[in-house]
Amino acid sequence: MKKLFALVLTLALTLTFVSHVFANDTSKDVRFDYDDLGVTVIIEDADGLDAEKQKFIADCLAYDTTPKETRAWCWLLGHDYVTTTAYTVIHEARETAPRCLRKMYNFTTCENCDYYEKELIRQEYINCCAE
Amino acid sequence: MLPSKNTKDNFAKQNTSDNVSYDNLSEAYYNKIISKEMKKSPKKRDYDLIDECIKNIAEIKGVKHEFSPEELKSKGQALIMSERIADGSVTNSNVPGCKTDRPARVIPVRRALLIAAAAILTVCILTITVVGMVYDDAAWFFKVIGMSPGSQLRDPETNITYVHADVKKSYGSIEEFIKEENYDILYPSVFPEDNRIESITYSVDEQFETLGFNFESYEISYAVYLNLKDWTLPYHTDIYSINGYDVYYWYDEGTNCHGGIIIHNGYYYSMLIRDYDDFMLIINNLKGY
Repeated sequence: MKKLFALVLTLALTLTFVSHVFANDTSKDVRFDYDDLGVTVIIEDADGLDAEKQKFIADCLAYDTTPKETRAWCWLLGHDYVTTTAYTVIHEARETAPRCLRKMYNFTTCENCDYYEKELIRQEYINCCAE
Repeated sequence: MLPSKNTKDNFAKQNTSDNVSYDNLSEAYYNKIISKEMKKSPKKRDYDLIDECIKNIAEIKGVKHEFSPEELKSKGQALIMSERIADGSVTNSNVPGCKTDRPARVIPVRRALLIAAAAILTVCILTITVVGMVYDDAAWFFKVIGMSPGSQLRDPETNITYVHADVKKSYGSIEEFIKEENYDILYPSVFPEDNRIESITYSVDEQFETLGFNFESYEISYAVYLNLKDWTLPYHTDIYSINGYDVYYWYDEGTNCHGGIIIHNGYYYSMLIRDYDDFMLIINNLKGY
């Protein structure tokens, strides 16, 4: 049933989108600094996430953790997925400019448990920290 | 206990006037004892006495067969059952071995409880699973329907990302996007067949205003920083002239990619590309202002 629903939506979306998509994102960003790790995490479009889930996402990206086991409730009924875009900035990754490595992730997590998936979308060096 | 010999003799004498032989009287006497015992409750019955009587009746009738204890027991039980049937206290259906009626099946209480528990558990699991599937689909449906403008929702099971179409725009080509959005930037016009541009993201945070070209795989990363302020030029990096642009190049061991930076018309172009041929393909086919 879910696959059928996905197929119908996919067909509908395919008629709308081709391959190039442009987004104008003006939503609120949330920033977490991990000074001990030299990492900054920025979560885009964080309005729909509570503070606890925002911190969870930031911790997962900063500490590069592995997904935890799912709860029995989610195992039975399935996850309640929410996807957001998040950036990590690894400060002073290089000796010389540009020194800081910024990575963009699509981060999918479950609203009811600690299950998550992260997908690296893009990475580039930025001129954040001085030499 | 069996009655004494005198009692038997008296009983026989009482019946001689009826021209009944002693054997018949004795048989009647033993049957009467058996009947008397059968009228008692099962706990009070003297089964040894009944067996003894049956044995004596068999002797009177000239049956020479010596009954084993098991045979006596079975004959006694048969006799008891026949008496009970005659009394009307038991029906045929209760008689073990009776072929006219189907015997009742007796299931031990503990096994019955186990079977019941297993049945309840199975029903519960099936119910929860079905309800869960319906709930899951319904919840997902309403979640997609209720997406806020510009948001996206990815289903890891089907690997499909649902995007709210009110803010997102689609373009037939990269050139169309550049023209309609009026960006005077350098953009990659040719890219590998297996790693094409999937989306372009515009983002602004405290430090950066970025136009990110997101390929199907992160092995090609291309981003344009639109607010070039206080940027330190990569002085310690080799500079190559490729396709008419000064490219600050280095091999980045941290990401195992070829890094390149182009600063052109006030914009800062950052590239990290895994394959060297792809790196050269992208730079050699940059187009724009």
